[in-house]
Amino acid sequence: MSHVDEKNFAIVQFDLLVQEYMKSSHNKEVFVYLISPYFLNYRISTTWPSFTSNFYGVSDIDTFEDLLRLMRQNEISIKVLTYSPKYMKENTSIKKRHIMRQDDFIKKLYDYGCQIFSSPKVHSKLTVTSQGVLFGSANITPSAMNYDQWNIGQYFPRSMKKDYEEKLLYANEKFSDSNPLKPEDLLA
Amino acid sequence: MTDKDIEKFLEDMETQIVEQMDNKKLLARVFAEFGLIKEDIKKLNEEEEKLNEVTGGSIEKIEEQQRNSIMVQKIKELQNPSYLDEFIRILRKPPYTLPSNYFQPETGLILNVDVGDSGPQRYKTERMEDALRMLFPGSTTYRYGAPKKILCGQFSRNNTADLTLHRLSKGPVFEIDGRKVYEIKTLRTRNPVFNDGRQWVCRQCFSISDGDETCHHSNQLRMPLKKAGSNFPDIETVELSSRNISETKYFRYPLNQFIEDVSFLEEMKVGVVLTGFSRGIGGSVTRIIYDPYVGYEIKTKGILFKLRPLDLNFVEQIFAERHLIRDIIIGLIFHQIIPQLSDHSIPLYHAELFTSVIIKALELDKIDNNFDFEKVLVEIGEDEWVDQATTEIFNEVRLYAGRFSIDAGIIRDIFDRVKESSLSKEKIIEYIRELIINSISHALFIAGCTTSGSLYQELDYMVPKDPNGRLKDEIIVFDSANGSNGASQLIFDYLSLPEEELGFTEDEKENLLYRPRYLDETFAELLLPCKQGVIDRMYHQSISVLIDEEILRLQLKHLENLAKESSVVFDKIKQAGIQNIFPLGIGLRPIEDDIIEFQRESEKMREVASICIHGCPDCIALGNKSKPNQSVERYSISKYLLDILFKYNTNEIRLYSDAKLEDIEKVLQKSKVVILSKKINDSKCDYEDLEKRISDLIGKRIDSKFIKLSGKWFDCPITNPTHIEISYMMGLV
Repeated sequence: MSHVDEKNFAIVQFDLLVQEYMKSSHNKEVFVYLISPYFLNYRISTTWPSFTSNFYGVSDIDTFEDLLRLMRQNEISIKVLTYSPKYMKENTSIKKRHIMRQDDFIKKLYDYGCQIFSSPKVHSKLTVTSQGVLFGSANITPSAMNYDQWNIGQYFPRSMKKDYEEKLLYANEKFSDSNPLKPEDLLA
Repeated sequence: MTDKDIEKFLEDMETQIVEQMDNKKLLARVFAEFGLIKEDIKKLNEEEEKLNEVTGGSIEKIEEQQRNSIMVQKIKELQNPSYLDEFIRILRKPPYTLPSNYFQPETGLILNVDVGDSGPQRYKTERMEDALRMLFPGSTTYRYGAPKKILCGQFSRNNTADLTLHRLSKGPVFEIDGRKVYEIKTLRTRNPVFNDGRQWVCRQCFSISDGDETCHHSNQLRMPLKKAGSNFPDIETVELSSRNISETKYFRYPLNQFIEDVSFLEEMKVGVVLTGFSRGIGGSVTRIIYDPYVGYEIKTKGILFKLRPLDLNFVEQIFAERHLIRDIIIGLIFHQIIPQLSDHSIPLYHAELFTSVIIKALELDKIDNNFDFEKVLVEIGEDEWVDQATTEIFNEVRLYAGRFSIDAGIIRDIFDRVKESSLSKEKIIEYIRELIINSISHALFIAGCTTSGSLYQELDYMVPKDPNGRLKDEIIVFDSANGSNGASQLIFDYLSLPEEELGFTEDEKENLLYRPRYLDETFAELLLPCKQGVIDRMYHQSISVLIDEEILRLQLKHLENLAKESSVVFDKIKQAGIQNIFPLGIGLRPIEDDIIEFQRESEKMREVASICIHGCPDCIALGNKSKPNQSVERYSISKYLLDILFKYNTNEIRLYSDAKLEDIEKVLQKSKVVILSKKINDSKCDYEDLEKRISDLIGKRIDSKFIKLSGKWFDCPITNPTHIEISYMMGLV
């Protein structure tokens, strides 16, 4: 288990996803669960993707969206649980331009083949892959991932079986309790 | 002077002539001549008056008129008079030149091309660097409408083209390796002429029947030239000035184990030398040397990479890699043959044949784990193999489509000289050093092009030599444009990833910049095992089954298909053993009894066996950009050697998957980077444990930094027992 805060939240998430991407080359039991009420694309620090490899082209990633698209190209199952843009518009005081950005991002991920779920109850923030779980207070948004906010959380690698499986079970339950996003849940 | 003044002056002159001349006949002739002079003086006076009307008599304005007149004349001579910069540059001396685009090399130097037409269109003005790359002697151009051959004259006797048939500078402009280099003033051309109506090429020397080259070899060696061969210039560079270093930087670990420091050369003079040209026909390449060399000088900027001297412990490690030492000995033999061929005026492409025959005679293609290089060095100095090779060469040439007509005495002499070349362990060590320096120079050049987004012609590189001709532990990458084009400055700016700081700068937050590629990233990738080489070696060692990687599997499929098509060839390679694959790719070997199949399959074998061990276009081979020329590139670089050097230089930070966490943390604390590797040689084995170990480390805090995944690669060395090695790299950010 590792302590995670605003300084390494994005690092852990990025590495978890990159590792899953590479694992997909030899193991089909790969998946990504992303749970976050607010869900926006963000730019990855220009120095992180520095990645030396003779087979994997990870260095060309500029944004979180690039990384998810790359993973979908390897047919990795990606499930996202978040607020629907319609719910945000009707029930929250979030600025319209933020809702529109979330709407745009969700539509793109849908086009890449990600499975999108929504629930008004979602408040947890969780990233799960076959290699580990990252959870805490940070949403998947630029302000959370780029150190503008104070956040805290924990990272459990898969080797911490009990903790890992508990979180995995939790994520599975929440996806079961949510609804797949429908066209009417998006902005017109 | 007014008209009246002129009239009076001429009358006075006439009176003085009459008074002083007694001879009447002579007086009549002088008067006739004087009449013409009077006419000329009057005309000149009229023209001056007209000029004064325009310029007001100002000297400056008269000079301006003259410049305009020259400029208009130059425009008329140019091919594209509509482009302003096309003619501005020719009126200015460097560095005051306007490049036609950002990365275009422009020396400001020009030469004339004599296209042989009558009238003012006879001489075409061309930029020096263009002319030397596109219009080099021996090439044919369609630039002026009808084809024009740039003269090189007959070279068939000694593979040397006499360039004094062009107009050269009176004296040399500089020297390279003790040879004088001249500047071309006028290139001479002619219309290609085919006397018998058909174009032929000499199989021996590759001379073409165009009325320029002619050939002294037998008519029986001539074959119809159905498809034009390819010509490309051989260009070398030499540093001409003392160094003006403005800044020095350092790579981080592990690249600093290869390169001591990196300095920016604010100003450097480089001599660009055209040493000859290479001609390729039907898969073979020959090289014609120019006499004298021609070239020009540029002022530019560059980067000096100071290499760490060769570590003798590393050299000892290399001597334990028997197949590698054997390959190195083959390379040394090849380099011994080259000067012998030149001395006997034999085309360079025969070097492969001679090398192949020596390989067979010394049985260097049949080595096993007991290979003893010292024994081979002794054998090379003995007569036995020379007799065998002299016979064997005629067996091998049966496999080639072309005719072979080298005198048996000359063949014997070449082998004798190789025998007497006294190959020794010291020579092997020096050659290892050269291979490493050349290989790193290729990797740095390619990485530099990637970082700056430059094409190969926009950047250049050189490995300086000491006065004895020995390579220095230095590599210079420089802009190939006179006055620089900014590429090397860009590379130097992006030399190394910044110390990773968390978050974004204010500038980064406001501007959604795309991530640059840093030189250390691209250079490090070129130091990893070649992707194509890894795949090929996995396949030929039959260990591809050990690993179920989709990313590898796709490329292995291609090889599996090839193997189905040429099972005989693949079986032969398997029998010979992977350790012998490099020599199998040199020359031709008999496979089938049927002579037609014989040739086809032999060539197939050479092709299949030429897998990437010592370099390929996917990794560090540069083709016709390599120095000194493409013909010897295969024996001037070694990617495999570089792979071993990378491993050697990263030994301190390399641990295996079962390493203790505290040991990993210790390495990270000390070097800020760690490599975790796992060897796979068991078909039941996977590397899940390694993946788990990586997952455990992600995001961990060490001091004020965090562990981050920063690399993963596969390797498949040629070893016994065979194995695949998977490595992850973790760094601190």
